[in-house]
Amino acid sequence: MLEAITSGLTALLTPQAMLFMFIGVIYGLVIGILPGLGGVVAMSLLLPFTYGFETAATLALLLGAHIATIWGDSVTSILFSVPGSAKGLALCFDGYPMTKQGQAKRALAASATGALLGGIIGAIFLALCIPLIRPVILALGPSEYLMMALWGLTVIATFSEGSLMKGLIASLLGVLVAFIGMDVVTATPRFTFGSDFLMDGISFPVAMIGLFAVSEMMKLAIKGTPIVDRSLVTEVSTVWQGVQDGFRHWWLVVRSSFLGLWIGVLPGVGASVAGLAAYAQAMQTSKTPERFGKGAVEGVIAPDATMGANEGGGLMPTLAFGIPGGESMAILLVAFIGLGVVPGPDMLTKNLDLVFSMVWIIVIGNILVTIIGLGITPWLARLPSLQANLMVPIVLSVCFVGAFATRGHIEDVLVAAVFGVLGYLMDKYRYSRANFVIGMVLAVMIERNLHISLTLYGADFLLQRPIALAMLVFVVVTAALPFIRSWRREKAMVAGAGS
Amino acid sequence: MMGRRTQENVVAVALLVLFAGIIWLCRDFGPRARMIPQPLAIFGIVLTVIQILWQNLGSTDALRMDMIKVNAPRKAGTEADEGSVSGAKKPNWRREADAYGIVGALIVLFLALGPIPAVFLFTWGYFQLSGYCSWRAGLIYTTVLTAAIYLLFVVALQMQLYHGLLAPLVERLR
Repeated sequence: MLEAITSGLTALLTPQAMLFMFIGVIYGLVIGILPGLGGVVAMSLLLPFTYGFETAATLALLLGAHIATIWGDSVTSILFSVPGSAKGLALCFDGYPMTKQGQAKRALAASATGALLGGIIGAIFLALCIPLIRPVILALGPSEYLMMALWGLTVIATFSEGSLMKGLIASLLGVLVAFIGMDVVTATPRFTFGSDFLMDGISFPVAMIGLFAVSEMMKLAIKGTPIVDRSLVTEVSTVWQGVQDGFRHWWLVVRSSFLGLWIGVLPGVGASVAGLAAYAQAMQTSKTPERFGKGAVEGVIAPDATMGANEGGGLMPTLAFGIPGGESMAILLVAFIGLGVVPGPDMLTKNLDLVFSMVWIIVIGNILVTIIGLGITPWLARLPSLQANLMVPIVLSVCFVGAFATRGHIEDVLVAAVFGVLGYLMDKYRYSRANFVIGMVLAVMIERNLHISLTLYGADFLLQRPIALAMLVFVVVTAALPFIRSWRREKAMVAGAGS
Repeated sequence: MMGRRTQENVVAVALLVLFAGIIWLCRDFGPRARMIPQPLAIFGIVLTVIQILWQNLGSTDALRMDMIKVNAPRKAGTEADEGSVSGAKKPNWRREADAYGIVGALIVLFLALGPIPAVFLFTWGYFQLSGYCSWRAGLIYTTVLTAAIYLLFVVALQMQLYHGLLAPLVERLR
């Protein structure tokens, strides 16, 4: 094993591999910052350029770009509340308030540090646990995935700022919007009104661009002043503070990383769920949850650590079984085919050095992203103080071009605009946009796994799947816990007032 | 101008109509295809009716059950800040109409001319109408932005261009 670790690193230390990694990281940062485009786009566009080079160099280019998009996504979420892709959504909740308080440097640095630490934990876990995780993954079926998705829905309560009722309505709307298009189970067109465009469903990145980016620009146009008015709020934080925050909250980083790993290991769950779940667990386990949503640095560190670790987790089923953990891992599988590498149990015997090369790519790639990220943070932190009249046309233009570029359909630009207006109205009347997105993310997962469970095990599938039943109990307890805590607290207050 | 409660009611009624429409559309689907959307839409109607009753019978503050507060230890005299994003300042209707107009204008330009000319015209027009800079400076900024978008999306990312609804008309005039 030690030999594989060394040869994995040696394969990466060639000039070609290092150059490819550097190019991949820079390219990934740019793509990550562009709205609507994330790791999937970054990797798929690189795919044609990967043939004919060293295997380690090719993987360095692809994985380096993918890793860099994580922090790239976070940048625009923190600075403008405009998530580069669904993954960056959770960063808006506390990163953007930190920017408005003059703590953009701290938020960006904490985000980069969180992603670095999460990425390293994920890589170590990947190296250690591939043989151990195999029986766990094989024990989980559609019923258990259904319970995972239901657990994800309990997060909704966390984001229901204002009325919980409105939060639930928003999440229902998100679920129903996700059902637009061809139903994959029954091949029934639903809510398409005969439109060919709607048969493909609403593109998730396009909806995100509208809900957050377009609506934020509408708000900025109405407000007419910069996001951060330097005459009122000066930049009070430093990059070093953010780095220190990452290490100071080491236990949060470890917890969030393990959550990211677990979600990464599960095929098809995805990093967007991971980021939201990390935010929710950070808030639920915090001693001061009232600070969340108003600029708590933990709300920035947790999602980034989770998404950093998610890469290591996502590689696990991809390498061990040839089952991609997500869309980007599916693209990596295509690259494997081009390189003549066959994922599966043989990876752990015949290609162990390649596995360790990927572990090293995650580590070195994350270090490179963090160094570049911390280096450019002081310049990035100045962007929110640009005049609204400069920001609005530029960001709106880039967003709409990004929406068009997602699938090459002009109708997507209309969808982005409609969701922009919807996002603005939801924000105005306090229907949580985050809940809407969570509903959209989890809808298909819930429906598909429910149908498969019913087909495979019948209506009493829960009784036949004890793990799923145990998970359901966990879901109910997790959902009820905040209410029980609140009830106890109120009871204690009443008792205290009485005595 | 409508009061806040009236506006909230209008939104809630629109949601009711939407959920009712979804139930109506679900009639055409098979039992498996409507297994989840239909009950969810019914649940949506129930929630919206409760919301309407709540916001009309109780005080607006009583409607809010803030999970941040539920999770947080209660301290006397402290109130959670009501949302950092939405609304410390109330926009007047004129500015709001302008914001809708900005999005609408960009959409019209996109559909009519395609992305690249639309970006150029929209950005330059916005700079001029907002008085952000002189027309010459605006032209320079706009050219740089359009060139950057073209290089990134069309050259680097190989985005297929859409030439707009006016393209056939221009072709015919040629």
